[in-house]
Amino acid sequence: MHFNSVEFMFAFLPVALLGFWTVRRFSVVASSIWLAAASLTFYWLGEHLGLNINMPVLLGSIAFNFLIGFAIFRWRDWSKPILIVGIGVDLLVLAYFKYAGFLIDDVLAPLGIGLALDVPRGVGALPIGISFYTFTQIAYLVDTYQRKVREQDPVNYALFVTWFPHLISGPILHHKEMMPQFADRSERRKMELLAVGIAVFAIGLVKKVLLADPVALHATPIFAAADAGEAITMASAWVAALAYTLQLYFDFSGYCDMAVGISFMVGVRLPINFYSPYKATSIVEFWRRWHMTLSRFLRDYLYIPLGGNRKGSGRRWINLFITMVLGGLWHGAGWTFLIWGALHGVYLGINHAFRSLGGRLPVAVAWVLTFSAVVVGWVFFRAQTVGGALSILRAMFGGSNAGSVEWLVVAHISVLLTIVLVLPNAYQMLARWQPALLPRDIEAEIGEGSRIRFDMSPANGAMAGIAVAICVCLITWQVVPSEFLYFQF
Amino acid sequence: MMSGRPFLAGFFGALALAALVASSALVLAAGEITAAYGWTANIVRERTIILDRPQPDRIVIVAGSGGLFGISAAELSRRTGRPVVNASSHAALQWEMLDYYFLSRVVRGDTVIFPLEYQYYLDGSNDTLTNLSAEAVHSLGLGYFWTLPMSEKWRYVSLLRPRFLKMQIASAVGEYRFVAAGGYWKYPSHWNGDLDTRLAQSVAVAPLWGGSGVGPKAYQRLCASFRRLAARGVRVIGTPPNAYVREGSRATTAKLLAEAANLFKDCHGEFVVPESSALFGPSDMIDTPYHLTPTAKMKRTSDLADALCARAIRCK
Repeated sequence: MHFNSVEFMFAFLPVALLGFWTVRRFSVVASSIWLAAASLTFYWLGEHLGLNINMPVLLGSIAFNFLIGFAIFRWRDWSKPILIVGIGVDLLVLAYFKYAGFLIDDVLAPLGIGLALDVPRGVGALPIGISFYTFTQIAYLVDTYQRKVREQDPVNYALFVTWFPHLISGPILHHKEMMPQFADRSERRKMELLAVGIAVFAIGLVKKVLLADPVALHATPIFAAADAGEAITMASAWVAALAYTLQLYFDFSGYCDMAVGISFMVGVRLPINFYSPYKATSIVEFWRRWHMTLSRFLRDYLYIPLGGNRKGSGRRWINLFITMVLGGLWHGAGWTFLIWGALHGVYLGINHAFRSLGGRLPVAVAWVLTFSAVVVGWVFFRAQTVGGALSILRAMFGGSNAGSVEWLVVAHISVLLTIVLVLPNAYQMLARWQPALLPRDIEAEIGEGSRIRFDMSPANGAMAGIAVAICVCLITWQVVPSEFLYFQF
Repeated sequence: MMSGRPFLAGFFGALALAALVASSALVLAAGEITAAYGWTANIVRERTIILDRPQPDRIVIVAGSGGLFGISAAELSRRTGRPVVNASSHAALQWEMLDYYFLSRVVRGDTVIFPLEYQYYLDGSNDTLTNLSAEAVHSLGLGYFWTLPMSEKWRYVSLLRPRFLKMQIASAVGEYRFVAAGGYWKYPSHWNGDLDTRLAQSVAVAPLWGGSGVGPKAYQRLCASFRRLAARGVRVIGTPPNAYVREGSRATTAKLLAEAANLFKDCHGEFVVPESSALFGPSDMIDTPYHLTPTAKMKRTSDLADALCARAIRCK
């Protein structure tokens, strides 16, 4: 079940909220049980309704990691081997579902090593949300090992992992930032939480339905043609790359806004995942603003354990490169994702080297360079084949056939780019309520918020209502195809 | 912090208003016959009017367009000596629609003959709403819509395409007037539900895949209907459809027909197989593998009448 489905918005969510607020009047503990049950129901009602691999894998993963966490805390002397076993099994399960097919078909087979194993292949075989809940739980195990958290209640643990706003496509959570919120017994101002949550949700829905889905129509056919080996003109290659750049941004940030909004409706803040990444003027800054919880995970649980920047600049770049390649592979088992990750590893290396040499660029030049590098990266991220990606890039930068583009397409892309670059983001407009957990630097940057502020007036409420109604009409009549891109990861 | 009540009032007020506007549009769009699947809607409407006029000892033919283009009510009436209504319509309509529009109108003493197309026996073939079926029944009003469960109601609405709604609303407010012409509109309907296809010409058509067996869901659905009819004192008689079936699937299709015969017999019905084969050839078809030429239609009807008179009904 997607957040932008009518069943979710008008059936599941109202029931889940009504139940939560009713139960919470009597018991905070019971309200946590309600939310855990609602989250599992949400998962069960998902894309593959009925009996299938999704639910057993999720429940098995929760039970296993809860027990491992318990064991790590209980048997201190053995905590390191237990941690290694826990993370190893998590990664093996993830690897089996996500990477075994890729390894057999795309790595070993070309080397002449044939393995006739029946393993899951393709996105359809992947248990929904496994990449996200596996990483969330690995973070939990490491935090438990480091004595930062301790969870003894299986219901609370299940709620932490399955909390439905984040279960399918993140953000990747930390136990210590979530559980105190669920356990908080203080009085909550229900109407205010609902109003702010609905406002953020509506912003996310608009991003998804009105901005991301329509612009995909400019990108999808051109990438499909490139993957099929057809010739691409320079103009259409640029249109495809820019359109996908915008689609991905509005799609994923829209999803994250919706997740933050839903969670805020019960008074629980999720960590911010997007903070205007296309306004970044360096790749380092881009990664501080794009998919922030994944960046945080990769930094805390991969880059730093690898040695981070503590072992000299040469080792630091190698660590960065490894981190980014694995980050790329996390998105999907394929050469295109691996190249995308490696490309960003190289970008970051260059960025750090430039900084260490004391280099500075005018802001406009820095932005153009950063944005162009990101767009080039997205070509690999989007294409189904390396050949398709190279075909698009060749057409973009050295195409002999310039081609032409309809002015309406150019106008569409220009308007969206203007929205991205000029307008404040949802967290700046709603700074007064802080609907998401913010890192300190972002919190300081937001301060009092933007000049364009969103207040809780009836007019704004009506505007949000009309926006949601328009989105519902577009979804209902499937005017444009609608599916969250990060759902497949 | 300020209260969220004003915002929520505006939000839910706007949503309620939007819901009201959308509902009004749906109501306004209902019951208009226009270009989009209007022919199917009109066929259903005409036949419901005919069925509402009871006649003693009546025979009613219920099927998709295979029955409409493949059986002559007039000829069957002449051969059996009983009044016959051809209440066949379109095989893209779900069984529940045939039930709602036609079977609900048959009365004690009627005999219903089902030369059902193969898809009615299969699971997942035409057992869910489509653009065609939703728009066709919406053109007849909101009656069918109200019978749907809540989840199906939403699906029904989602299948009404914006351009269909626009055309229907324009027709309702007098901004657009539909002129029925071309396509199947060229075949006029008679007072007994027959479609006058005398001018139809044979055109090469591709054969269809009949099917491999009666699906469990289809079995339950059809059986429940037949039992309800039987309980109301209505005779239920099945017969094979007239179809041009692919050579390679004739054996599996024969198996399906054998299962269909058992289905009718198990569920208080009978199954009559005419002497001549129910499997027709390409030269018998006009535009689809279910639509017979006028000559084949008369042959099929006459064979059916012989089989009915010999094994199932008392002919005058």
